[in-house]
Amino acid sequence: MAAFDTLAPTWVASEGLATGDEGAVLDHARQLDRFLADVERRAFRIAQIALRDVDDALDAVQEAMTKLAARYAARPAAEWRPLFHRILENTIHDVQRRRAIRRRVMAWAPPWRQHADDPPEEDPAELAADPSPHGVERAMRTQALERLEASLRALPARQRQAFLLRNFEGLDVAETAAAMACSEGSVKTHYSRAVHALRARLGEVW
Amino acid sequence: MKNPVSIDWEARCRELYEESVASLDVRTRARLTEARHAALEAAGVRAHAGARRTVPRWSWAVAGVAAALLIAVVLRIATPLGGSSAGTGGDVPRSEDAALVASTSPADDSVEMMREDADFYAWAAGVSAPADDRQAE
Repeated sequence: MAAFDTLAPTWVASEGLATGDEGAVLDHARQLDRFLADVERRAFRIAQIALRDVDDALDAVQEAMTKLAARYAARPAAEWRPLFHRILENTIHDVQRRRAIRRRVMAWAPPWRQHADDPPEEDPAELAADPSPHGVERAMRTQALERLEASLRALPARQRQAFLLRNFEGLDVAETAAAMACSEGSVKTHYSRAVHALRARLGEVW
Repeated sequence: MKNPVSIDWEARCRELYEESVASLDVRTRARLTEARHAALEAAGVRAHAGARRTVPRWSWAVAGVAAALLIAVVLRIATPLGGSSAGTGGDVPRSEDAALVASTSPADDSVEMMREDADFYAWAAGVSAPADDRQAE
């Protein structure tokens, strides 16, 4: 377990965390550390699905964690999850926008520099088939996941976000609405459209 | 209400995602942990791996004062006021020790030793002289 020696003044001065109540502040800090440890891997996968790049996904997760800790750490712990996902989605959107700008700039660059931003190609050695029954099963599941991820990337951003939060993250409608900064009715609409689009794309036998 | 096929389909999506999260490689996990620590550090919360701090800061000051007092007591017992250090004769005053040391110089010591062991030095000179002669030849 991590321990905390210093806290930002905003933590101590925040509502409900009095200056003299150092124990409560430290508990709150540890609670935040545990929360981030709990969500970091799932957040990484969400960022990786959207960005298709390990380093960019790690950067996005770290940026989202930093913003949550710096701005919203003093908020009640129950609010952290939707806040974190809203920040993460905004961060992912920022990375995608920066990439789009770079791509536009690179269109003027010489041809050999135009693909510098493309995601790295997969290692052929890792794609080699494992002949064992367990390997075949694993390969099929990997393929199914890749098809799902590709289909998710093809969805409009709001539908993708609704599906990731509701299905993958298990957030309820109210939490998803808070994370997406929209009404609960909009969440239901986005999610329903996402499911229909994914099923149409992947097929019933997927 | 959702139909069973839809529920199965959604459950399969979630299951595949959970598998991919669980199978993240060690390097990525380590990098995520580093990223979390960096994020907390950047946000003004310094995290240290290891045990939580349970000893209050003022206790270090109390421990320091206690250690200083203990050392003072030990020194006081080892060297009582007005006494002499062990091995020099308990009844000799310190001022006399100082006068004794001041009154004797290294040169005085040498003369005194020569006077007491004159025979020994004469014999030693006789033994070493033939050896010196042989070296000269």
